[in-house]
Amino acid sequence: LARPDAPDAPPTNNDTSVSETDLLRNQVLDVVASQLDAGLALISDGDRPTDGMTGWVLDRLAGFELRPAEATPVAARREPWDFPEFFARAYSARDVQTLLPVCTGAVAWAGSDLVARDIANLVDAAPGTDAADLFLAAPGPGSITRACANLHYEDVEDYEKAVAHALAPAYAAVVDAGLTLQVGVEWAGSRRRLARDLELLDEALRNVPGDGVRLAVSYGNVEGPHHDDPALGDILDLLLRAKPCGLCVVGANGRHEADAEIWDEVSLPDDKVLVQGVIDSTTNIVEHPATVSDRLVRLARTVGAESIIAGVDGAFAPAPGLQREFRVTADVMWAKLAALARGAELAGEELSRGTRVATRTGVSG
Amino acid sequence: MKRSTQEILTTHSGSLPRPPKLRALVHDLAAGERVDPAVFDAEARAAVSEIVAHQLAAGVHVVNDGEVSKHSFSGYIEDRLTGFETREAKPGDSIGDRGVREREQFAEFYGKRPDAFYAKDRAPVRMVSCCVGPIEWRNFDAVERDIDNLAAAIADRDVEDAFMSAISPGDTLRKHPNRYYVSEVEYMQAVGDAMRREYAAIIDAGFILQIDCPDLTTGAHPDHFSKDAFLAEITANVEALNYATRDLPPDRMRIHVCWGSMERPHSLDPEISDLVDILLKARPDGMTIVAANGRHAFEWQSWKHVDLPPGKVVIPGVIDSTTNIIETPQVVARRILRFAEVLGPENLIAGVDCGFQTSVDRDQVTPNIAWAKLRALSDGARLATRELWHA
Repeated sequence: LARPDAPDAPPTNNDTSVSETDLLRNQVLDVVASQLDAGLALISDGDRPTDGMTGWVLDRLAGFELRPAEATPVAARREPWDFPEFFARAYSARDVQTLLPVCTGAVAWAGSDLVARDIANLVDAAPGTDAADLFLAAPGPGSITRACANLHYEDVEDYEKAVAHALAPAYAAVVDAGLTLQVGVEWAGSRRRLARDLELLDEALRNVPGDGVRLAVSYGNVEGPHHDDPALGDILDLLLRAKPCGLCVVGANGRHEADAEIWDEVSLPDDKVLVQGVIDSTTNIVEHPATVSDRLVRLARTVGAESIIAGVDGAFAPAPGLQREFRVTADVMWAKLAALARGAELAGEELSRGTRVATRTGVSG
Repeated sequence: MKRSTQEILTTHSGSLPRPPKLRALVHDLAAGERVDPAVFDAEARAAVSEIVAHQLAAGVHVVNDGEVSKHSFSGYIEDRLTGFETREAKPGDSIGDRGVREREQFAEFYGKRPDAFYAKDRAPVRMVSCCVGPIEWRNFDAVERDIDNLAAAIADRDVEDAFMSAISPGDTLRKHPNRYYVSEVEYMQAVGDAMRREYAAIIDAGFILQIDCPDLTTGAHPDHFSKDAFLAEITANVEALNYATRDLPPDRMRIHVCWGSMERPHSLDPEISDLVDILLKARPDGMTIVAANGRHAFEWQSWKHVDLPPGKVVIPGVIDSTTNIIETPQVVARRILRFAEVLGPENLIAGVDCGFQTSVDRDQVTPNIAWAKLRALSDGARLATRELWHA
């Protein structure tokens, strides 16, 4: 979730009378209270403890150090080549993150204390909420191995396996505490790569029950052309084979709005739940609750209301280096989340005229 | 006006990305710099030809000149009419400010946008362009030049229909408080009579006239008037429009109705159902509406409760002109088909929510993305056509 008035950096602790621990606890309290105020049913800590994947990896995994990125990672997508004009405008060169975690030693889990702290902070901030309705987000193994260059392992497969292995306790800790784990998988240009990422993910989840996990599919959460995104139908077979029971999909933007038509042909397995994006996280136009309801009702008529959770296309925290005009500000974000909750309520009313349903709202990232 | 009788026709809301050379000249002119008129005219003529070719290549049916010669869809009128001068604002002046409540409610958003548009209206307006003399044409040549350029650009090309935009009388009345005419009615008629000359020339040239009507939506201060006052104001603006078009053929005209072209919260926009009855009283048969962005995407449903008068054509936006995410043809088709089910395909033309470069210095969507979006529009319309006529 976007931070109020400070999208560029995590807030610095200027007040020395407040410890870092208290500062974080207060931030989580705030962000949880705001989600409850907005009317959301599934609550996260808004990723307050980390600031994107870089922080998550450096703080929680051994074997990585921050180094200047030697070369831009090979872009797996056609977007920047086909629309250079947009990318030149959307990202400022001087803001682009030039330091990235690089693997320089054996990868191992080193974040038990931090994950315990994050769980406690979230649980304490939402005393009236069922643990299963609280979720914490973590990066998937594929996202880490693609973003962080490997200078240690001779074989890339060994690197991937080591990362998956190190992530297993991170994932297990969240689910063992009764919370829901949200783990991300990013489209990196090919089905082969996606299949590999999901294979690594399942390996990292081997001791975790699938119903404690939701998988968030991302095509890069930026207001860009997205013309080379696959449709959900092009990758759904791979996604449904993965272990997580929850599947968070993009559905509100003009690139993916028609993806839901796949459910006319494919039936959602009984053990799976669809967290459908009905709010676009890349535009500052606030959806009307009636638009949210329209999107949900239409989907519920094919998939069944009991299998849907109303969600957001992607995370609201801005991608590193993204120019301000392409970001959604916190005030707009909260208005969008309120529209999400209200829209889900309207959909529930509309659908309950026929059958009894419960629609719950959640937000990813 | 051509209708979607055998296939879903496509069009857009008027402003398209200006070719870079002309864009620089238009910018310089608007900034008060000297530009050689011969150079400008030659660039404008070439640009219109290029813009028409681009639209046809993208598969758009009802094309225009992209409004490329004007610095803004509404401000151009001050360069062409007499009677306006800057004066000190008086209490009660309608000064074309927008969205006061939205600015208060989303202070962080407005504070963080780098573009000048969002910074506007933060300080109280002290000076305003007023009507201080008779409204007459001083530069009708510019209208004739634009008409000639579009006529030349479509002459040897296979074009379904062509349209040309002009601003509504209501927008001019609202932005320029009257300090000259003895009554508001007289002022309204003077503006209407002047605008009529431009409207008639566009229609006489064989084009569809698109009248841009910000005064029928956000331009009418919907968020700081009471709803009744808002509806009364847009009713008066429709009357001004009907006066200016009183003897012009309805089936050669369409109005463009939107909520402002910018990516901003829009959460205080009224709904189309609040004002559709008033909008349908406007004489032009065609009406573009916003229907692609998330604030208005559900409004296809509103038309279930509307008894569409014979002859009227609705042009819903099925492309969002504020986001760089390019719609898929499947999404476009889906949006069209919903309207087709409610209105009947022959009563709709597929369009775009608003213009892509409504002011020379403002584009939210980069030019090549705008063209890719128009391609998606026509590809999507073809999918819808297949579904409606050949399934």
